[in-house]
Amino acid sequence: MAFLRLFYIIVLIFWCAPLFGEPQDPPDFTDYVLPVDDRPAPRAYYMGIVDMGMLFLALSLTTYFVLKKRSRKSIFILSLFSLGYFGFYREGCVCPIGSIQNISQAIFNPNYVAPLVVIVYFFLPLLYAGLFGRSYCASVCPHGAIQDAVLIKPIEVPPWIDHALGLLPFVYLGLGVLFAATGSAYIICDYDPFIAIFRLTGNASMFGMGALFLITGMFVGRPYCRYMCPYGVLLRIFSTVAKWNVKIYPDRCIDCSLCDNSCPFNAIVKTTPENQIIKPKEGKRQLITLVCLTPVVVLGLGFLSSLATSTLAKSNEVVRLAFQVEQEEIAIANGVGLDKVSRPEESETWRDRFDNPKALFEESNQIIQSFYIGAWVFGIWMGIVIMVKLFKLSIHRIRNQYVADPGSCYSCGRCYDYCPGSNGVPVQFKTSGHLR
Amino acid sequence: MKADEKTAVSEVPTIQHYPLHSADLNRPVLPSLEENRLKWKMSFESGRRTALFFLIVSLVTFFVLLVNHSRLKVSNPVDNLQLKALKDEVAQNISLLENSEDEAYVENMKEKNKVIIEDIRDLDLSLRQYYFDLKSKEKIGAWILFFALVGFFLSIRSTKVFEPEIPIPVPDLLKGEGQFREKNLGRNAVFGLLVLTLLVLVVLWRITLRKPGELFLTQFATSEVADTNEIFSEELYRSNRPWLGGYDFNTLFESTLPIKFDLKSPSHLKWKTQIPMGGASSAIVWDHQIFVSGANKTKRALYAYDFVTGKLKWSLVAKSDKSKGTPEVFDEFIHASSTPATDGHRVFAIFANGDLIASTMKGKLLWQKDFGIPENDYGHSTSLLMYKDKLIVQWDNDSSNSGIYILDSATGEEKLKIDRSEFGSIWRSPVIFRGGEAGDQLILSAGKIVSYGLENGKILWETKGMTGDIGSSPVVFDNIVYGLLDEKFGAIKPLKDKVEIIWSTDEFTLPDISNTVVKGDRLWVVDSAGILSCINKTTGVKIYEEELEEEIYATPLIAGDYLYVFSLSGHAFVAKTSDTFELVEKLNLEVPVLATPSVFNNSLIIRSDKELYRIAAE
Repeated sequence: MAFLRLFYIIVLIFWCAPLFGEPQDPPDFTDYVLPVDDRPAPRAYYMGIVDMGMLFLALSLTTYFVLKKRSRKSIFILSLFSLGYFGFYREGCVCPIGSIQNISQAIFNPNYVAPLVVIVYFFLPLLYAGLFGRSYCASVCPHGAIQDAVLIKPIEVPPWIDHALGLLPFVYLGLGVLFAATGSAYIICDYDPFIAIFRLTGNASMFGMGALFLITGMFVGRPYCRYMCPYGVLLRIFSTVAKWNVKIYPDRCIDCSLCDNSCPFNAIVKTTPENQIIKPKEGKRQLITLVCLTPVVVLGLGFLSSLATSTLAKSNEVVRLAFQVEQEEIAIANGVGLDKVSRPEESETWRDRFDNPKALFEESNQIIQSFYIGAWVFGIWMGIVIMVKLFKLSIHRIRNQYVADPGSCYSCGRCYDYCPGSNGVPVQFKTSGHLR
Repeated sequence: MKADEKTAVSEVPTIQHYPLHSADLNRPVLPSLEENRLKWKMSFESGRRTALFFLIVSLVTFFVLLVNHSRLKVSNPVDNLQLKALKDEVAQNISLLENSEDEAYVENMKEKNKVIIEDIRDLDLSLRQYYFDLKSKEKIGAWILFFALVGFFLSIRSTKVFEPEIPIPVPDLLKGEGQFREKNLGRNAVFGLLVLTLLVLVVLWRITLRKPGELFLTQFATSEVADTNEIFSEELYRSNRPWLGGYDFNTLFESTLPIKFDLKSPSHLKWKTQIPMGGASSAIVWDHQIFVSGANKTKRALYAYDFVTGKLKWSLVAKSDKSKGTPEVFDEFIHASSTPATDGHRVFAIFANGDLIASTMKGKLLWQKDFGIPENDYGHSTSLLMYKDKLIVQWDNDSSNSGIYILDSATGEEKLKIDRSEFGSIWRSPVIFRGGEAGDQLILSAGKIVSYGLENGKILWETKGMTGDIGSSPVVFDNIVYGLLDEKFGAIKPLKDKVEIIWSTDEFTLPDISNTVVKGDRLWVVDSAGILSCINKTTGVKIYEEELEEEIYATPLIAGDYLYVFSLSGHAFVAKTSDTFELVEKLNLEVPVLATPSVFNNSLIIRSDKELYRIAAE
């Protein structure tokens, strides 16, 4: 565990390193003039400081409510405040979920420097997760807060569906990093289901997606957090090594299973019953199969992803333009004429300004080359994620008490109130001997 | 269920009561507290009713918002058809105003435009008010919906708090089996996801199998003749119409054209097509493709039409530097009055603003050159010419870069520039004299007629020409050059380093805009006032002179035994090429013809300002 903590700290340091730099000035002794920015003025610097302070404050308060006060009510009230401030007032931006893309782009594109607010928003929740579990999810994240607020009749998602859908955030994270690192798209922001609600503006599809998640969220606890949130993947990884994590019971588990009833997120690991049937031979065979399968799956997915490079690369506007221009060039070569080809505005502007297809093809091929490497990494990442999940599902551990899974637990505190031992009053059961 | 499990279930553990704690707010209520139970039940009912109220408000607001949104979608002032039609009408009226000299009409139009502009303002205001009214309603609706939803969730949550249910801890005696089953199912589901991922990746792979540019570069780029400088045979040049007047500059064709036709009858009119922008440049033809240029104040383009069907195959718009402005020209058509030229690999067009474009035969821009706005009283109008792999641009005007430019046709690179600043603005196009003792010569007519060696640009000979604002160019026939010289019209024979004047005379009306056409031992000239003269080309003696009484700019042409003369009044005179003026037909075309028509494969190609016609015998 100590080694893992050290490993995460080293990763964090290396991750941070390229981010601290200054934007490049235009070259000296040239006619280059910085273009006038006609976009709205960015958020005032001091407000950025306020935002960072609010994040720190909210994380600290949450951690106190979760670990010290153990109060679901306080956590819930704070989550409503976060929904108001980070969601509706700050309009959901900057948020740690979207900041994954800024950080990825800053790492892979030397011309891009992530703002300090983004860096803080990305790393601070991770730092808290590494020490105290997922405090950010508990009552700081507006996405989580809005889903928690609408959860009125939770139904249990069958665990096998949970296992499969729980891998989707890993895919989403991989794609988000791939597209951001290649400077192609910020898909995590583009497909954020709640941003339209926070801003009270947006197109019909954005509102539709938000409404879909909220309606689902009335019955399924935090569907976005569980099956989509890419930042949750990082928080999950960091919180697994947290020293001070959520403990359902202060002293000992009496195996009443009330906490399991209270958790709408399937985040509580059950005890192993006495009548557990152990099949060691079958278990060994499964593990050997998985070991043999691992390189095939990992490299196979990497290879197959690399084959899909061109399609993935179409997310990049330069590549899309190159495909469009190629169609136009073919039309011209066939004597059809440009006026007969349906052309987007980008193509017309490009023809007015550059009109050099060979240079465009070369530029797009360079982007595709970086996509090729990225697709390999993405495929390998997917392979590793799937295989780790399969290994976890094939290894059976004997557990003698209910525990909150440090990775999956959102530190929402629901189980505290359900646990008969949480108030310190001893509980006596008439048992048939199944309690230990 | 097994027997021992049944026993276990029957021994359900019971929970002992313990005092309420502050953390128990969410804890299910104990059914034994009857008084509290009644109180909570009432709260539950009121919470449910409040939730229902907020739900109804939310649904109604949502429905209203949907209706509002659908109205918003169709009420954007920018897309309003009525507004657009009114704006188009104003633009059209302004265009008519610019081309009209009738003062009363202009005043009337201006008044009409004022009324329309007022209408546009009123309509625009009301559309905007309506649109932004809907927008503000949308915003209000969004807030109402937001608060209604907040109210709904708060009240529904309050009902859950007081829900009289209590989970009784029951040991899950099957959970050992259940955990195994769950994990097995989970593993299968993850395997399913793996298979799905593989399928998705295969689909993504198959959607796009190549990189951008691969298909084009492997299959098409090689067919784009842009890099070749192959020179076609003289025969091929003669069988096409590569530049103004054809390979020999003499509008004499062996084709058979109808002598009676009009531009409406389907019997001879093979097709008629619109040219998007007007001009006075002539059509050129290569391998069943017709090229014409068109331009207005702001835009310039080269068009390619199919000879057989008349369909527009492609157009190529010149990318002008907008900052350089627009040339002042004598008339709108001057913007595209220089006839394009082609060498069969590429086609070139120059415009009055100094933009020169080179295109492949398929309409792809190869290169573009900007000579700048010329200082020219009427506007630049000399036509382009090809010589082997070179493009000849006569850019004689009063600006500092005046001269003859000989460019590499493949790249546009300047191979040679001949300074001609002494001549000022010239509207006469150059001609090539081939096969003389001094090699091929480029002959330009102005105040002096000067011959330049085409290989080095050196002056070979010069003789007195004719000054004035003249557009009539010389013509070469049987190694003799016919044209204006020394304030007369004459025939000259270029030698190695001098020129021999065979004859010169001013006994007939000299041509001023159109060129000469030669056939057999006669030549014909026509001046812009419509006086047609037939001259003996050997002696210079006038054979006949005929007043056509119409304004004529286009060069007459001869097809077979007939002379065709086209007027600005929309008439075509068809006469026999005999020693007397024998008018066969005076055709009413109803369209003014400025540009010299072209003849290709027994078809007459007429370009009016914005229309192109192909006439052929049945």
